[in-house]
Amino acid sequence: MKPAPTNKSGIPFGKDHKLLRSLSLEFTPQFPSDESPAGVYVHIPFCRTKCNYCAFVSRVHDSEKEKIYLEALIKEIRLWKTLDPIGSAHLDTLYFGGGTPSLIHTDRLIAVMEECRASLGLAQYAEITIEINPGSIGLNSLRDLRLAGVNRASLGIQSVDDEDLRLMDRNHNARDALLAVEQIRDAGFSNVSVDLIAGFPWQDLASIHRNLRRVLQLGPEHLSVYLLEVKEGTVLSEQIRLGKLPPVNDDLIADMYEEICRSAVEAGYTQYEISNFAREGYACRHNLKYWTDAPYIGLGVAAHGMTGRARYANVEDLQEYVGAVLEDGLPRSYVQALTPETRFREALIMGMRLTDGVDLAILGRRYQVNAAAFVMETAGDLFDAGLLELLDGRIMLTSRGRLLSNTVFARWV
Amino acid sequence: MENIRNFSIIAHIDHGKSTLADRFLQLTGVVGDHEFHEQMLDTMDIERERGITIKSQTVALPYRSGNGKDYVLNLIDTPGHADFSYEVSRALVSCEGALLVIDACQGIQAQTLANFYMAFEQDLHVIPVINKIDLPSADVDRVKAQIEKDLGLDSDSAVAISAKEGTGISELLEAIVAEIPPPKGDANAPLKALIFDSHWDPYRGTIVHVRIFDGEVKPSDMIRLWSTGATYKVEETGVFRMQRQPRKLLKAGEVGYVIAGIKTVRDTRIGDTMTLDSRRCAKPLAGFKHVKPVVFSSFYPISSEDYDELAEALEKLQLNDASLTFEKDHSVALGHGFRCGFLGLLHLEVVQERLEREFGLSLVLTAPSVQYLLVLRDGSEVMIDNPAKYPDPMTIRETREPIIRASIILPEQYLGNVISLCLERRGVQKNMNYMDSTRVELIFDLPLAEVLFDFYDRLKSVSKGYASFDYDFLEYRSTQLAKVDILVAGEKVDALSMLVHRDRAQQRARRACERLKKEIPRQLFKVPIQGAIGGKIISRETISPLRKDVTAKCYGGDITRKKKLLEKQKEGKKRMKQVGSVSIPQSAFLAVLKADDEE
Repeated sequence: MKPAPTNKSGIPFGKDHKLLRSLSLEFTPQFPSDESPAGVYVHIPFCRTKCNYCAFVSRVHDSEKEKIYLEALIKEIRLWKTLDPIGSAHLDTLYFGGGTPSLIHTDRLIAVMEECRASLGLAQYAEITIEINPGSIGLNSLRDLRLAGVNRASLGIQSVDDEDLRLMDRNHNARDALLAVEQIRDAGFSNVSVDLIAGFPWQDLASIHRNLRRVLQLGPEHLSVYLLEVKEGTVLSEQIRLGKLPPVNDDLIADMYEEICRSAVEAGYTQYEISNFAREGYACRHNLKYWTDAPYIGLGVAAHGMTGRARYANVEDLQEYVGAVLEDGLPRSYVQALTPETRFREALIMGMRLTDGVDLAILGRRYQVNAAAFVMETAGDLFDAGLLELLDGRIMLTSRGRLLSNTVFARWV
Repeated sequence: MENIRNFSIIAHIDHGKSTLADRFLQLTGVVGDHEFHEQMLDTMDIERERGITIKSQTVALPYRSGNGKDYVLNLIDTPGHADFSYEVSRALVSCEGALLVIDACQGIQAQTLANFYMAFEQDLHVIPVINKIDLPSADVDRVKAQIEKDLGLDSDSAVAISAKEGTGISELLEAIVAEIPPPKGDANAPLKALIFDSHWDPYRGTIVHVRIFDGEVKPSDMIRLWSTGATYKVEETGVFRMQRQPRKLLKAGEVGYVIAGIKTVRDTRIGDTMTLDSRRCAKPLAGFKHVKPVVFSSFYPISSEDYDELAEALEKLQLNDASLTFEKDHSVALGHGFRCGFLGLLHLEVVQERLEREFGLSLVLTAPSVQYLLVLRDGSEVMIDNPAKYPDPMTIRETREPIIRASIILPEQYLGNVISLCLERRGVQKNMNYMDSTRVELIFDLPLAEVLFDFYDRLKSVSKGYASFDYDFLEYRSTQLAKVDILVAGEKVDALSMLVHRDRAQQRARRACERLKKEIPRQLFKVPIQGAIGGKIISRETISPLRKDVTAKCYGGDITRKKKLLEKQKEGKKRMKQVGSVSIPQSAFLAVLKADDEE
C-alpha cells in the first residue's frame, strides 16, 4: 500500500480534512457570472494519406475540395458574426487542427485567420497554432504563416523511428521530421510543440525511451504524448483482430507512460496535463480553454464548440457542411443545451486533467456549489485508493490516478 | 365414443412435429389462413426459438372422413425434453395412438426410438409417418426398412407426407380415423378422469386439462381430486379449439377442460384422478407421481431494488408452472433473493430466460444443486440443497446423495465414448443388452448431481446425437461431500459456494478461481481469489490491480465523445454486483456455473 498522501505541512488528511469535514451538500449549481476569454478551433479535414490508427474525420486531400472548403469556412465565420452566440467575450487563441492544416495553401489559411480577426475580434496578441505534418509544407510557406501572425507550430512527429513510422503508415520518415523542425525554426517560430504516440503493439520500453530522447534533442518548447487507443474500424484494429499484430498490453503502455513522464521531467519539462509537457511559460493556451472551463468556437467539418450555454458539433460530411453554410445555415449536427450542473461536472472532469487539478473553493464559487462536499460524496474513497490527493485546497490526480483517470471521472459524469 | 380419436405426435427434434400440427390446424379449418403463423401450438418465444415444446397444448380437430362420418380428433401436443418426461407420459396415457414422425432424409434417430418405446409402454397404436418427402435427399425406402427393422412395425402402415407442402396430410387424417382405436370407457360408470395438464387464466383461474376415461362431468357437479381430497364445484366444461369452447358436458373418451374455481395450478397435480364427490370411482388411475423439484438454485436480482419485481415475476410464472417452487433466500454477498426448485436444468434455464426476457430482470444465479440427505451425529436427518445451510461438517455422520438409474440406448460404435462418459461421472454400470446387432441398451447408476450438469449435452456430443437417455430416481446412497467456498479479496462470497463430491472439490475450486479471474475486471486493488474447504485454501488466483484507464487526448474539444465513454463505463459498473470492495459482473457468477468440459 502506498502511504497516505499528506499535505505540505505533513499532516495526513483523509475524510477528516477541515476543508472536507462536515459540509452539507446543497447541490444547485448556477452558471458562472462571467466567462473567460474564448478560443477558436478550425478543423482541416484533409490528409495526404490516412494513418492506420486514425479514426478521425479526415479525407485525402485534393485542391478543388480545399478551395470549396476554405471558402465555406470563411462563410461560417461570417455567420458567427451575425449570430454572435458567445456574447461579448473576446477571443485570444486560434488553433488550426486536423487532418493536416499544413497541406492547405498558405494564403487560404491566412484568409481564415484574417476573417477571424475581422469578424470574431480575435485579439492581436492571440496564440495562433497550426498543426504541421513533416514533409507537408516548405520553408517559404512557413515564413508566410509566421509573418501573418501564426506563432505556434505543433509538429506531428509521432515517432523518430523509421520502422515505427512505416508500421503506422505515416507518410514521412525520421529525417523529414528533423528537417521540419529545422525549417520551422528557420521560419522564426519560437514556440514549437511535438506530438508523440506511445503504445503501438510493436514498441517496447527501450524503443520508447530511445524515441523520446531523440525527440527531446530537437529542443521543442512543448511536448504532447498520446497513448494509443485502438479504435474499431481502423486498419490497426483489424490487423490485431487478424492476429497480424499482438494485442495491446495495457500494463506495458502504463510503464511506457511512466517512463515518458519521468524522462520529460528530468529533461526540464513540466507536466501540466495528463499528456502534455512544456517548458516554463509554454503551456498551450488554446488547449487550456478545454481544461479550464472556458468557451470555444469550433469551425469547420466535425468541429466541436462550447458557448457557455451549449455544446455543439458540426456535421461530419464535407458536402453537407458546405451545403449548409452556403444556404446561410449553421452546419450543426447537434446542439445540446448545457445546464449549470453539467457545466460544473464537466469543469471538474476537464480541470482534473491538469496536473495542478482544481481549486475546490474557486470552482465552488464559480458554480455556487459546495464543490468539496460534492467530491467527497462522489469520490471520497479514491483518496484512500491513492488516486486523488488534496494539496492547499486543490484536488488533483496522483501519478497513479493520472493513469486511472477515467475511473475517477466516471464518478462525475 | 366411436367418432373420437385421441392422439399425440412424437418425433426426434426437427423432424417436423410442429409443422405437422400446423398443417392439421389448417386442413381441419381450426385456424384460418389469415390468422396462421408457424409453430401455432408453441406460444412461448423460447419454444419458437429453441424449436422445442415446453408447455403442452391440446386441440380438438373436427374432421369429416371420406366415409362421410364426422370425427373429433384430439391432438395432445407434448413437451419435448427429458426434464418434462413425466408430463409427456401423462399426456400419452390420455391417448390411444401416436404419430411417430420420422425425417425421410435422416431416418430413425435416438429420440425417435426413445419416443417409440414410451408410446409402446403406454400401449398406444403407433402410426409411422415419413415426413419431408419433398426434399431431394429423401429416401422413403430406406426409412421403411428401418421401420421394419428398428421398430418392428409394418412399414406398409407408414404414411409418407410433406408437412411443409401439405402432401399426404389427408391420407394421414384418414389413417388416424382408420387405425387408431376409438377410446373405450363406461359412460355410465362414476367419473374417472386423468388430469394431464393445467394452465392458469387470469379471468377464470385454473383450467384443468382432462381426459375422461369413465362417466361424465358437467357444470354444477362437485368434483373431487383424488390425491388431495379437495372438492370443487364445476363452473364450466368444454373443449380446446385453439380457444376454449364450452360444452354442456364432457363424457367418457373425450378430452377437454374443466373450470371449477381452483385458484392456482398448484392445487391440481398432473397425473391425478378427478372423480365426482358424491359418486367416486373405485380406484384412481395408475401412474400418479408427486413431481418434486430435483435441482435447486438461488436467484438474485443484480439490482436489489428489483427484488419485489422478481417476487412478482416468480409468482406469475408459478401460476402456470406448478413444478416451479421458490422460497425467500438471503445471501450476504447478493442480498435478498429466492431459492428456486426445478425439474431439471432446462427447466431452470427456461425460467431464468423468461424472467430476464418477459420481465426484464437481470439475475445472478448460484450453482445448481441437488438435495442431499445429511445424517447428523445426533441421529437426526436433514435434507439440504443450499450450500448456505450446510452445517458444521463435524456434526455430520453421513451424507447421502440421490442416485438415478439411467437407461441409454445407443448405436454400438459409440459404446466406448458413452461408457467413459458415465464412468467419468461416477457412474456404476449395471447392465448392457444388445437390442439387435447394432443397438445397445446400457444401464448405469449415476449420481443425479453428475447428470444435472450438461450430461445430456455431453452424451449427445460423444454419440453424435444418437444416444437416447431416460432415467428414474433410484435411491439415496452414501457419498463424500465437500462445501467449497470462494473468497474474493479475502471475503467469502456465499453465493459462489458449492456442494461437490470431495474428489471433485479441488478441480471445481480451481476452475472457479480461473473463471472468476477471467471474468472479474481488474480493480483498483490487487484481488486474490481463493477456493477453500473450511479454513483450508485449495486453490488461488490473483487479479493484479488495474493500471491504465486513461484517454490521453481530447481532440478539438470533443468532450461529448469522451463523456459517452465515461457514461458507458459507469453504466457497466452499475450492472455489476458490489461484493465488499470488488465489483463482480453477472458474467462471473454465470461462468462459475458452466460445466467442467466447456471452455
